[in-house]
Amino acid sequence: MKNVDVIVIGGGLLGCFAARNLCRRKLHIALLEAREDVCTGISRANTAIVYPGYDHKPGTLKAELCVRANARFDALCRELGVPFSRCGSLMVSFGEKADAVLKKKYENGLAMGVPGLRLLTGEEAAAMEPGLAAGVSSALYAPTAGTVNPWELGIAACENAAANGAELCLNTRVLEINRTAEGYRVETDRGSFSCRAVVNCAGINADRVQELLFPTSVHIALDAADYLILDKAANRPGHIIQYEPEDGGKGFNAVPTVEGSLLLGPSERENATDFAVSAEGLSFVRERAGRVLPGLDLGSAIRSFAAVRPNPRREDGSSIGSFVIEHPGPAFWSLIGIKTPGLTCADELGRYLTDKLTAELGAEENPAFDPCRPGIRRARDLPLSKRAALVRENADYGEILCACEEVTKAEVLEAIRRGAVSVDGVKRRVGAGMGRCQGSRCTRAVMELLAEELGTPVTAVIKDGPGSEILEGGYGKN
Amino acid sequence: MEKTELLIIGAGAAGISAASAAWEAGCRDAVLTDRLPCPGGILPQCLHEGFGLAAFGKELTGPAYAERLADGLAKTGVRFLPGREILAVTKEKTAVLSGSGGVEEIRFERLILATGSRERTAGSLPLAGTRPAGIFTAGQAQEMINLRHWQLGRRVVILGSGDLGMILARRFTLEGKQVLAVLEQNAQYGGMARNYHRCIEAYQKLSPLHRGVPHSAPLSPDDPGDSRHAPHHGRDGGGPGQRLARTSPLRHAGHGHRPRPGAGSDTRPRKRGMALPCRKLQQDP
Repeated sequence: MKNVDVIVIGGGLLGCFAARNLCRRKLHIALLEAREDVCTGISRANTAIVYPGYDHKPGTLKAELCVRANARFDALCRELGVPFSRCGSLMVSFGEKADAVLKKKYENGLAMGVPGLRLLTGEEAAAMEPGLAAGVSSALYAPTAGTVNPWELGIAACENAAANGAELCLNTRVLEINRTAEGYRVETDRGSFSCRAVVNCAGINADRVQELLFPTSVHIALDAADYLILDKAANRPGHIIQYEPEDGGKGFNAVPTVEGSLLLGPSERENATDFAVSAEGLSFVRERAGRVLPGLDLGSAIRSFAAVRPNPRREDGSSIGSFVIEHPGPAFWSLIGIKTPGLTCADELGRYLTDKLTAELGAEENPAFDPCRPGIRRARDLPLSKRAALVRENADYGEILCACEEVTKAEVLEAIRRGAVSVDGVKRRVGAGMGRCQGSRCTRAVMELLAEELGTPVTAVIKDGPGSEILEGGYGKN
Repeated sequence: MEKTELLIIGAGAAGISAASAAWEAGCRDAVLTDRLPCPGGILPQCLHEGFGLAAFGKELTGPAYAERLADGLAKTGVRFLPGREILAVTKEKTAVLSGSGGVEEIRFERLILATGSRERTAGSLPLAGTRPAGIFTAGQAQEMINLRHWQLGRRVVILGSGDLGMILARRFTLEGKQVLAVLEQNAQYGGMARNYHRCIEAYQKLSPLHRGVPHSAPLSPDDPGDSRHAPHHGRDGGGPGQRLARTSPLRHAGHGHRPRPGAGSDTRPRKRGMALPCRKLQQDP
């Protein structure tokens, strides 16, 4: 039996940020994650937008957190050593009905105090983004919108939590939760934990985790969404382009990512079961992209992927728009169905939960808390002279393993040292395999380094998750 | 900063040939670089036959072809700088190279880029489904099997019947794997007739070719959607409709050489250590 103050269940973005912020108090935290790595579920597939906050109803928690989170995002990413691009967004319309929607969002944003919002004419929008289709009737420009790599952010938060004393328990699945005199006992497949408080950030399983002990009024249905990624190209838009269709249907985003690629999507589908891409969804994304940015070369696609989103529903099946945060028992908090803008608000939600628990547990400020996490040093970001000096110091910084994203052997080794145990874990930490050739060159080298560093045969190296051994002779292939 | 009259980036077949040709033409100050420790580029992993007809009048395997090219290079005074990746070329005619030996700049008067190709990957196809482990590009599979002796799987499906797709089908079959199918979107196979005869027809029962099997949605109407490796041994161009004509076995195999199913070393079980041995060239460490 292990004794801690707070158990955080789920190592996605929300769990990692809950753990990070709880470290601001004198609390012993354990973060339980069922998988071999953090940020492998909802967090790994996302539109990657840091929203300005004009979309939500004033007075709601969502609206309040989103505007505040956006304002703090530069500081947050500086602290966590994660690239953030405040590129701004242009939401475009092609007719009167959508113009009215934009106007409403604009007024809503003004009421929320979203800085710098402007309603533009079609000509003004076209001047800002020459790649836009002809016929834009109006555009809502939000200079504070930005983009961040979701899993890079979540992993950084997790590292920061661990550096501040939070205990990361991977491959640890929660089986049972019971009340005790002091608080709760959480039974896992790796032993039991006794704690004073539980924070449930179990993502698509958050309703089930709460139901291990308490009833819940909401249940999670899964929505899926498909995305397409285009290779780095000169003609990608400089801003996030968002499309508000005239028929009131599903919109569309084109996001110039921090990696230099262009993310297109999403399509949206109900009743998903897994992260499977649908052909119809991809066709939809391509159709939307052609409608809004006709000059894009869709043949330069390098990757498609599917996201899964938790869609909280009431007993009667109706969908819930706001963040669902339940407090079913003393010092037991559940984040159930945190949809958009969950990425934007992850740190704010962590702070929110920390405030609530501080009051309940009477926790003191932790003066030793260090909000900074050193990012992984990237050879490609250095000027030539510094880069040469770095290679003299450590020859592995000279050896390029991933040519598309210019990732060196030293960076891959650092990713493994920081907790990557799979090929995708390395990719999510340093971007090896994310570029044009999608790892066809570097995967072999990454597999060999993983095997060497983890002390396993190469046949045991996994792509992403249990049973994903890449070679024959691995566990999952037999 | 190092200076050279001619800098050649990439020591595959094209780069070595360019270096040798430059030397023969009288260039006495040439530098050849490559990211790998040895010359040959991708050839050492290409155990199949079919290389070198034009250059040596003989059908060679990739490693044998690379060895001959490297032998020729060793007779020149071209300096070979292995283990260096090119990072940038500036307007001041300077190339920036990175390797475990350091980051260096080389000033050149003329530059030849012979950096080969990157493969189109499954990610570029509009394929539905999850993203499981065990999907490889042809070149990646070739490297893992032929240079690392890794076992990629017992049952294999090959998407696309370009040359490499067909050659890999034979490779897998000879490795004792079960090739369930070679799937081709078009009505005709994609690669050369020679490779079809040697790799598919000769093993028809073992690696059946299924033609006209569409991917879930083509990227664009004119896009064959084939995950084909870009050519690296002198295949000429031409649209899909010209495939048979331009891949006449006579044209590629030369002098009435009938395509023999199963010719060349790729048709024998692989021996370990067939990778090209590192040649002693005039090397700067």
